[in-house]
Amino acid sequence: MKITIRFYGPLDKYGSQLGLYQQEIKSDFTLAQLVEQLGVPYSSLGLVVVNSVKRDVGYRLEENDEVKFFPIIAGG
Amino acid sequence: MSYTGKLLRVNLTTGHSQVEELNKQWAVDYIGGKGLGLKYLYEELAPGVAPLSPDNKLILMTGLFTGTIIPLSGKLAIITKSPATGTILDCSIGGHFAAELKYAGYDAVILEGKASKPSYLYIEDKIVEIRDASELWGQGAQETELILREKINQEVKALAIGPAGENLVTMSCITSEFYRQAGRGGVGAVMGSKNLKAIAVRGSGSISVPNIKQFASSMKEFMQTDILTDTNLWANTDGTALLVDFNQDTGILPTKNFQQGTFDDYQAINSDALKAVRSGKKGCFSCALGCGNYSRTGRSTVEGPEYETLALGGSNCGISDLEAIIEFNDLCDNLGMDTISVGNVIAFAMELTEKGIKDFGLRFGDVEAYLKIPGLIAAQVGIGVDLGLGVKKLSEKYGGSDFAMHVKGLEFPGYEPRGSWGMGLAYATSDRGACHMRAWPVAQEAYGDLDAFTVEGKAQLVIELQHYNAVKFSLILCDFWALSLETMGTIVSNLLERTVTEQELSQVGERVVNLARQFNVREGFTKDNDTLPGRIFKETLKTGATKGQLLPLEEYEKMLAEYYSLRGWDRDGRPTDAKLQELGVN
Repeated sequence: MKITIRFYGPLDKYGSQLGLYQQEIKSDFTLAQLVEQLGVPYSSLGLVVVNSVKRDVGYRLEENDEVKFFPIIAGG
Repeated sequence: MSYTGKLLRVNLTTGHSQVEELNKQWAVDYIGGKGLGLKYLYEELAPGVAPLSPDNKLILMTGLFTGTIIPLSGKLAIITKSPATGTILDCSIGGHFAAELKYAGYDAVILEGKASKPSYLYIEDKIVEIRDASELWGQGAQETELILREKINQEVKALAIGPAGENLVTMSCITSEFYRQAGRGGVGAVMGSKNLKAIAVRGSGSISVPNIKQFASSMKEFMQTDILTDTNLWANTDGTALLVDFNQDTGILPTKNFQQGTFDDYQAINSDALKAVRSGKKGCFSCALGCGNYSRTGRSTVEGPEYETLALGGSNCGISDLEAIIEFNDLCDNLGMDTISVGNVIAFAMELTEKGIKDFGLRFGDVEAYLKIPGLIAAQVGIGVDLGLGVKKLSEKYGGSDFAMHVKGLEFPGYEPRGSWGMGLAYATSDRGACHMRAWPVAQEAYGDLDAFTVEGKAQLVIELQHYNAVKFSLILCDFWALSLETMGTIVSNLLERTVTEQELSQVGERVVNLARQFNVREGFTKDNDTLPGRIFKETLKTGATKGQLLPLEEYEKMLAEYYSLRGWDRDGRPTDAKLQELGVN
């Protein structure tokens, strides 16, 4: 199935600096599996949002989901 | 040792200046920056002093790290009593002024009294002169720096105020290097009240550190392992503008005077939009991150806009025209005003107008009217006289207190507390009014794993974050290095050549927080001031991830009571004698 992915800030390198892009994934795929496949260290992940809702890595992805990976951020 | 051990005291009334020994015990107890500046002010300022009277003092305080190659250590703390809130006030400002002051031979400058005419202070090593500033008076903050560079030296480092500070506007800031600000609480008005237009410094000395080879090598290692990493590099790739997307997706982006937590046009004002007009980058002294992003449009060039300006001067005013926000930023910078407070007061006036309470001729999204306001406030003409009062006093004059978004007279920063309940407690208990730099639980609640919509565990979280930030701003380090207390302890230990543990540093943080609280208690602040506007307790948000949320008053009160109890304060929020004794706060 097809999903849309967006990495923010320094995490963009894990998405080959493509900005917003589409990717084919297997059905019955969790966010944890996606994170592992993309090679993103958990220590670098701040916030994961799917279709504008904050999700934990146990979330099961669905067709056409829009997944955003934000970095950890300090200050404000 | 990386202290100079010297403090410069300048009396602007008499023109007399003298060099004093830095109080060594206080430097042990409070380190420097925020903590040490606060200690000096607490000891020297009589209770009840009017913030804009000659009796108030303005303290410039460097820190243990200032002037060294420790990364992100370029900030200066400015401490005074706030004319906006009547509380203690400390701001930090980036650039190169702090290091230059230390190279001139001083850890701190204490400014007292009031000059008889517009003046600026010039410091060059042992030379200390109060000079005539009649040709600078009336100039913008940025023009003032340009003139000083022309007159003195292109390398001179300066702090300056704009017309807003001269006109004693209580949302005026102090500027350095054109685009860096000590923004909040009216520090610019305190300078203006002293007839002090600018402070310019040149230093030819140096700072020594022990075991220089080992020190340099460990800094290089920190750079690779703790700074140029995924955890900090957002500051370089995007800067704070990245927070627009974070906050839109978590429903905490202030919109139309905090009536909503999402903004339909957020993509017009986010980091992606800004990158299209980015024209350069800049870093402060000793900083490899370089969070400063220059933006250039047809009309203006600014360093920024930072997230707070995009939120408070953008979505919160219903403004989605990025060029207009950049112009607003440019106007505020040169006039010398805090974009957070100016954005807030415009949004409040827009809501007062739209609700028919008081017609200021301002409506959400009206770019033309919005861009006129900074000039009117700074010059104190027309509706600028009213708007310059700030949100609190404006609500006292015309009504609307439930949606006057401030704490103790300081306007809200760009994080909606109904989507981060701990942030509500952090605003309410911050020493200078609504502030995101005393504790920022948003990272754990809105972005992290903690439930944002519960008070469970939040009092303890806010306390720990307040201690952490009090240490960081006393060392003094930039907010954007996400280093641990343990790492801070390692660096401090190397500099002082004695072991300073994480626990000891945390206790310094607690001491600073308690001394700030004592200052405010002495000024008459009580539990009643540790609260939030009615909107937060009564109105639910209508959109996004925070739809249907408010912060129930009874839950807030439970969280506040727990906070006082965990702090060892009494039920009215006063530090107990036992707690003060434990911390050595007299």
